[in-house]
Formats: sequence, structure tokens, C-alpha cells
Amino acid sequence: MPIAIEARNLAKEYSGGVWGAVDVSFDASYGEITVLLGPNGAGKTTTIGMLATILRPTRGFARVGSFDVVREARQVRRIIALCPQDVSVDPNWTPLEAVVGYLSIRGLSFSEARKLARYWLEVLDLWSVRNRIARALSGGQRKRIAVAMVLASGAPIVFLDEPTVGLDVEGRYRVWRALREFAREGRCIVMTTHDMKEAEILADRVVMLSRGRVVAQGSPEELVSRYRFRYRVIAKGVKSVPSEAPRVLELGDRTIMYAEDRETAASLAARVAADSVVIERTGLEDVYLEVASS
Amino acid sequence: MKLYYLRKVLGVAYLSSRWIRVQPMWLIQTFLVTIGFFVILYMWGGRYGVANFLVGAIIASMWAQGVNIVAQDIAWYRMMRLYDMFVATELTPSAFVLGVFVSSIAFVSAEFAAYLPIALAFDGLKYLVLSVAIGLGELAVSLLLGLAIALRVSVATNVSAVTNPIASILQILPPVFYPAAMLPAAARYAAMACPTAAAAEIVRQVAGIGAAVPIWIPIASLAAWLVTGFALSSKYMRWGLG
Repeated sequence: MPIAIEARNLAKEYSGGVWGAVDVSFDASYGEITVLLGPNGAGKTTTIGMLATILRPTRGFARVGSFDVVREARQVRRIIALCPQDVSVDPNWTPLEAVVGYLSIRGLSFSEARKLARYWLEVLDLWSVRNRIARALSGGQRKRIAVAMVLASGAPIVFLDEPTVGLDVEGRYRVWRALREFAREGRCIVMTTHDMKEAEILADRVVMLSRGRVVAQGSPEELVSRYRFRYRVIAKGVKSVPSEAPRVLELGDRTIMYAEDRETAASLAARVAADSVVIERTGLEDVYLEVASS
Repeated sequence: MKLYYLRKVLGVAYLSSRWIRVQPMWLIQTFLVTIGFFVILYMWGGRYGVANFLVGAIIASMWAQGVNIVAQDIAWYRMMRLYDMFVATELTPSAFVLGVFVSSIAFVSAEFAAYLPIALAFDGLKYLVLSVAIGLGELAVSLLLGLAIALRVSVATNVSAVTNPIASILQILPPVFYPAAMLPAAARYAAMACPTAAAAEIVRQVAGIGAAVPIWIPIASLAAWLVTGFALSSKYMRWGLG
């Protein structure tokens, strides 16, 4: 897939000497969803802000669709769309007005805008409430209006900052389906989340951030396969932990023990004194905990 | 190209004006307040009061439109994070500001729905026309200042706390609804430092309903405010890359 975004050593210092990002480098391709993953304060929103020409990088450079984000910001803006974190649609807008208005400010005619609005509002299950003002809709529906606005733009490169926060399970799946469809049409999506499960399901490529730096990147499968522990044993009501467990996380009355293979995991599970024990495959969450702490 | 630009302006105006459809009582209230002011000035000053009402009210509403209504709309977009969403599009700052301005015309329209019949009934069409024409300079000042405030105040929710007093004090306190000639001589000159009073004084002199100071003084004041407003808005106008 051709490269859509090239970020190299991006850093952003806010007033007061606070660094939002320290060293962020990654590539994102057309036709893929790249997920910036990390806890609050990891630098995800700052990175999106720099790529979307909202924030000026203090150091480093980035190209979005082959345009320099600082020197060619106007060209960049023509090919991107941004759904900021905590964006709220005006409570007086209806879903249809919001999408049509947003597409109009991007230069589309009213009839084109209406056609696209219908399609994306249907995909995101908002068509039935298209004429209801946002104030009367649920928080999840309002969030989906913002996602619909951005996807309806058809921009080749789209940035979404935590687009599924606050959505119920069904709403989240609708957004995921819409994002996958959007990416399948050859567009590049860069989104942030701190939900590891979401990243595992949705991402073609994951960029893990911690304290403003990239700590690991690759496809979810690659990242998990690089991790030496393949299994984890979750024990509840733990009385004692086997001493040979190579990595142990204490969580109050629960303990997670890591194992390199299924046999070791089964052996740990058999010997731990606990009320209940579950063996699971490790995932991005475990990888993140390891790389962020190291 | 022009059509493309126009669509963007109308897109912003469309989004910015949706609240009017939902809350039309604001327009009715604006219309009735305008009528109320007319009644007060007519009762006190008869036809002379009506002439001063038309000058004062039009100058005051054009001032409020920029420094208050447009500024608060922009602050609202900042608060809702829609401002960033709009920056990351083909929209230009000029199309954005123009769109917000166009949407704010609804307010002024409600006032003009009152001014026009009053002007026609009291032979005051020339006051209306002159106030609008000269008020355009003052409107430019208020738009530029409103823009600077809306983008300078770091917490967007505080914008109205700044713009409301600026809008209302400069409408009510200086000689806008009353002629500057009613003030003591020294105060007349000081009053011309206010853009609203300067604009009202120019209209009164051109319309022949009194002169308080040499006309070049209010003209110079308005020009100085234009330069200041332009400098401030250029300094604080940030369209991304902050």
C-alpha cells in the first residue's frame, strides 16, 4: 500500500515547558487503519494535532499525502478530515444538517452533500433520527454524527481522535464497520484509542506511545508475536503464587502470571493456590504493559 | 472558483444560523426591544428623538453584531471543538468569518424590520441610509476586535464575559443614542475615542442634526480604530498550526 503519512521525530512543546510529544516517528498507508495506542498523556492527541495542521511541531517533520504539514498546510487541509477528541456537534443541529453543512463548508453542492449524508447516516444508524435536533439525541448518537461528518467528506486521509469513547457496544461496532469500509476504499485512517481490544480488532498497524515517544509499532499480530509470553494465567482470590512464574502482575486479590507456552501456563494454573484460574492468550495490552514499563 | 468559495461561506452560515430556527423567540425579542427604544426616544424627543433613535440604534446594533454576536459564535465553535474540525478542511479563515457574519445578519434583520417602517413613517430614510453607510466602517472595527477577542481569550467560555461589557457599555454610555453636543466641551472630545460615538457623530454631522466637534476628529478616531482592529486581529487570528 502506498504511504499516506510520514512522521519523523515529531515533538511538540507547549507553553510552560510541557512536552505533548517527544519523539514520534511512524508511517501510515492508504487502505489501512493506523491506530495510535497509549494511555492518557501519551501524546496521541498532540500527534494527531500536528498531522492535521492544528499544532505546529516544535521539532521533526511530517508529510501528509506528500505535503509538508507546516510549509504546505493548505494543501494538506484539502485532503484530510479531522474528528477531534471531545468534539460536540451543536445541540441545535440535526444529524442531516450537521453532515450537509460540514460538506458544504468543504465546497460540495447541497445535492451532493445530501446524497453523501444519507449514505453515511444510514451506515451509522442515524438516518431514522436525521431530522431530530442533537440535543434530543443520546451522547452516543451525537458522537456518531461527528464520525459521519468526517467519513462523508470522503477525504483520502482521515484523523479520528478517540472516536468510540462513550459509545455503547452496538454503537462501537457500527463505527468500526464504517471505518473498515472507509479504509477498504483505499483511504488512510489514523485514529487514537486507549482501548487495546479496539486496536486489536480494528488496526492494520498499531503505533504504541508512552510519555510522548513511540515504544513499539507493527501490525497487532506482529506485536503480539514478538512478545515472549504467549499466555497469561489470571488467578482470583490468590493465596500463594508459584515461585517459578517468570512475570507476575499483582492486582490486589487478583494476580496475572505470564508464561511462554501453553504447558507452562497450565502448570502455573495447576500450582497456584486461588479460588479460580483462567488461562488466556496474551494480547496488545500485555505487550503495551511490557514495552511501556521498559 | 467563486461558486466554490460561496458554497463554503454559505455552509458556515447554514450551520451558524440553525439555532435561529430552533429559538426564533430571540428575533422576536430583538424586534420588540427595538420598538421599545423607539417609543422611549419618541416620547422624550418627538421627531428629533426619532432621528437620534435611528442613528443611535443602527450604530449600536452594527457595533454589537461584530464585537458580540460574531465573536460569541466563533467562541462557541472553539468550545465545541468544531473550530479545529473546520480548520482541517478546505475552508479559509475569510470564508469562515464571512459565513459567521452572514448568519448574524438575522439579528440585524429583526432590528431593520422595525427601523424601516419607523424611518418611512417619520421621514427618516436618510438617517437610516447614512447610519448604515457610515456604520460599515464601525462594523469593520467591531468585527476585527471581536475576532481578536474570540481567538485571544484562552478559555473560550470566557469570551462573552469580555465581549458583552464591551458591546453594551460602548452602546449605552458614550453619545450614541444622544448627541455628543449635549456633553460638556472637554467630554465631547474624549467621547470621540469610542468608535461607536465617533460613528454616530459622523452620521449626525452628515445628516445635519448637530455637530459637537470638527468632523475630522471622529473620522480620525474611526480610522485609528480600524488600524488597531486590523493589527490585533492579524496578531491573534490563528487558523491552525498553533
